[in-house]
Amino acid sequence: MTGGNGPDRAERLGFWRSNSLTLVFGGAFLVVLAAQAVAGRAEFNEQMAVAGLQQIGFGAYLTSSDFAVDVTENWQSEFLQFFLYVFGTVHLLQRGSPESKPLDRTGTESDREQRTGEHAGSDSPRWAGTQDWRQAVYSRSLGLAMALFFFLSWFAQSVAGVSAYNAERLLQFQAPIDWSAYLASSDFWNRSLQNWQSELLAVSAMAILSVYLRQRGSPESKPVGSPHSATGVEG
Amino acid sequence: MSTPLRATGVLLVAAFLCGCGASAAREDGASAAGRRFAAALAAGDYRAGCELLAPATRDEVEEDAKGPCGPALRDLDLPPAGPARGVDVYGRGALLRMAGDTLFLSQFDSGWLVTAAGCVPQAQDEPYRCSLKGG
Repeated sequence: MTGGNGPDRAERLGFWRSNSLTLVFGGAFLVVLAAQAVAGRAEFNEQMAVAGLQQIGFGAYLTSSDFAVDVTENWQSEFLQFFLYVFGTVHLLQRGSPESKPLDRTGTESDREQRTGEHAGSDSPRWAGTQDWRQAVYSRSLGLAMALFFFLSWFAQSVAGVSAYNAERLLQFQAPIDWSAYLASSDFWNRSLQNWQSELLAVSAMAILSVYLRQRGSPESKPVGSPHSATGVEG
Repeated sequence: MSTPLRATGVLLVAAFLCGCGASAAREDGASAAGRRFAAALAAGDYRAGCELLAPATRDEVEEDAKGPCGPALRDLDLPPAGPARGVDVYGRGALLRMAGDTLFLSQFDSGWLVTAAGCVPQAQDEPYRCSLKGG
């Protein structure tokens, strides 16, 4: 991120510039979430109009199960994608991809390579220097956080989903079903699987395309002049 | 990380709460509207019954009978509903099970209105067959 000018330039960068990756994507997330709410409400009200029922305001839609299930079904799949990617790349390799570790470094690596236990430095996170459960937890904290967010989002999807599904069933003069029946329903699994397949496609495409294609200046790509066979090199 | 985490937590809780079905107030509102409809029919006050029908349902009743709602509602000869046995509320819709009848209702700005009545359950997952319904 700092180019070739070293730490001096990094220190000169202000808060906004030095956190721009998180801030820009976080801000864009909020803008797109709001846009989704606008489009979702319009679609919801179309259905109500067709059925001759009352259309709802923006506030009511924001707190509706219809909006909640549409949001959480996408969240769970994104967190699942990163959870699988973080854990999968410990052991899985892709020759020539910057997304993969070098072919001879598969696995969790030694304490020396990971700077854990007695090899931790004075600037290492505190739990990295321990030799008990704290090191074990901290060593997996990124993947575990993604897994936790995945399960929470998926659970929220199921709870909001059964409510939205039952609201739709009532419109069709069908009796509602309970949560356990919803977990076995085609609606729940169609919502889940359609998101999972797209995440898995994106991950596999990224892993293989980054072998042959480049994005100058991006850490997700190898340097433009790197050979296709170079593995685990980031630009 | 604390702000995004908090936002995530709030949204998940919101999803959980809105997914938990209806608040007691909404269940009471739907149930009360259904009971008023049943009471109006039991008292022979079909005009009041028509006032408690959703607009599309009322239109359907009048179109089918090719006449005004009150007499059309009387001619449907809906079964005596009796006391309420239970209510399910999801989103803007409700299902009210009564001793002698089952009603579907929907929430409007003016309150809960009946969208279907005289409903009989069918084989698993099929829609109820209703003597009176709209939409």
